[in-house]
Amino acid sequence: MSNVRLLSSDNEEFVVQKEVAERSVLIKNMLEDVGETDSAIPLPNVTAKVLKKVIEWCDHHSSDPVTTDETERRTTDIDEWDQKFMEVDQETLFDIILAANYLDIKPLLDVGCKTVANMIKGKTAEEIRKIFNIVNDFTPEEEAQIRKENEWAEDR
Amino acid sequence: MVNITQIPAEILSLIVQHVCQEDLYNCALVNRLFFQATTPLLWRDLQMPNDGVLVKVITTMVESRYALGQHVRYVSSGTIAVNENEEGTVDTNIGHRPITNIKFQQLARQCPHLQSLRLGGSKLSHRSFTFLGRRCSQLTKLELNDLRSLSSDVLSALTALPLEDLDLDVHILAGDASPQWITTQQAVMDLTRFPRLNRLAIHGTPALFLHRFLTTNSNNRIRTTVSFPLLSMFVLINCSQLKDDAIIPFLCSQPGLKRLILNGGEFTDMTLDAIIACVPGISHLSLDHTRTITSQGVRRLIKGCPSLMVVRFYNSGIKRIDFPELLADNDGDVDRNVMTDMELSFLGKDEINLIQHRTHQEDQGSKNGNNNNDDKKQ
Repeated sequence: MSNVRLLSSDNEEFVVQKEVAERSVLIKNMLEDVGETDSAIPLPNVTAKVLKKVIEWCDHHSSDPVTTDETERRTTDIDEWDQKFMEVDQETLFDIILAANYLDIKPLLDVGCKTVANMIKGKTAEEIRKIFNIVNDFTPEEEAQIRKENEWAEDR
Repeated sequence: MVNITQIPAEILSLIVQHVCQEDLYNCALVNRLFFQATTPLLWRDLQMPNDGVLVKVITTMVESRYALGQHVRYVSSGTIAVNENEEGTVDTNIGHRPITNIKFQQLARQCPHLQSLRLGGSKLSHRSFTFLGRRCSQLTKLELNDLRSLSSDVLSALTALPLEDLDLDVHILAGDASPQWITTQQAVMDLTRFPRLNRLAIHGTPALFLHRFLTTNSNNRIRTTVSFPLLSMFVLINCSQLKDDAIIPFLCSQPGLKRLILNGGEFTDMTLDAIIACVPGISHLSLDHTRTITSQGVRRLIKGCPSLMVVRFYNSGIKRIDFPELLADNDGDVDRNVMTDMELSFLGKDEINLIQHRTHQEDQGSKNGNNNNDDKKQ
């Protein structure tokens, strides 16, 4: 089993099995483009702290079948290991989501998005603002307008 | 520090895909970023409890500055609540006036990407359908209920649409006068002009329509007028005067059918034999309220159609005793305590397998019997 070297944005090197690294479509395509190489693949958008988490996830899921089933992706069920894996602070959670997006690891991106969706579920707009520290940038008139235009969707 | 407001809008869109309609509504009110991410999803699928709410939503689309109708893909209005009252007339209106032509035309104008529409349509004009045909060029699924009073050329206004699924409820009941429009030669001819149809369903089918639609009698030889090359599901509900001579030629022209629902007809086992001969790949068949078929016909059908998964024949006079192999226990004895005179209304995959398998075994059994004799000789 051949290994691949990955270099984080803060210059930390990780040696991982090729099979694990190839959960990332970005890395898989890069490896296909350059062929056999000894030099480390630079990942300028991912810090060592986040890359370590991403590799942990890829390692655990290295033998998963690739699922393209939309309906399976739509559910908000997250398996137990992934739930534990995602028990991190909000900053790390969004970092993982951004890294999964950049590295093109769809199943990890899904798990991240579902985790955030579960934080939103059943909450009012004000509660959502509080959880994610969001400033309400609507004018009162805009907010009233949006309420009026979407009232049919409330309580269904 | 990364905050949810710093992630790209397309990722926020992925996140809100996983929440329900009510959560989407709350998300839309959070801030501008959330509003932009949720609006396309919030307006994608408009499932309205009745036309009253739909009319309000159409007005909102017309008055809004956000071009909300651009996001709409699916519209459905009204539960199909058909309540027969004491006078025997039918009230479908559920306390709301049906959608007007003006509102219908606004809907078509506001929603150019509409893919699916389900609506009551009794008072809609040809002009309204022309609007739909011109504006909603992506419409593939159309379900219209309560179509008693339309003009005979309404369907011609829709023939430019890429319809794959057409469901028409012309809504006649016993004692009602047939709606005029659907029995005209023009309506019948127009209906044959949807070559992409994958599913066609007609509820409350007038006999004259059936006769015109399914067959013509030319040179004393019956042939079908219609053939849909992609049709996999065909549904006739309340087709009370459907006879063998109308349905058989149609079935013979539709060998790709997988699902067939013919409820309340007057056809016989001849039609079932035609299914075996012409549509052997059929998987789902419903023959409820068809008193003119027999258990022998159903048995032949099951043996003749290897892909059959489900066959229904509720209230068609077929009894449990007609399929004794289903009553037998492991030793092959029929349990005398089972009420064998009870009606049978449904055969699922397991029962169908058993009936097919038993037959197969019996055939094999006779061959094996010969083999055994050979063995003894040796």
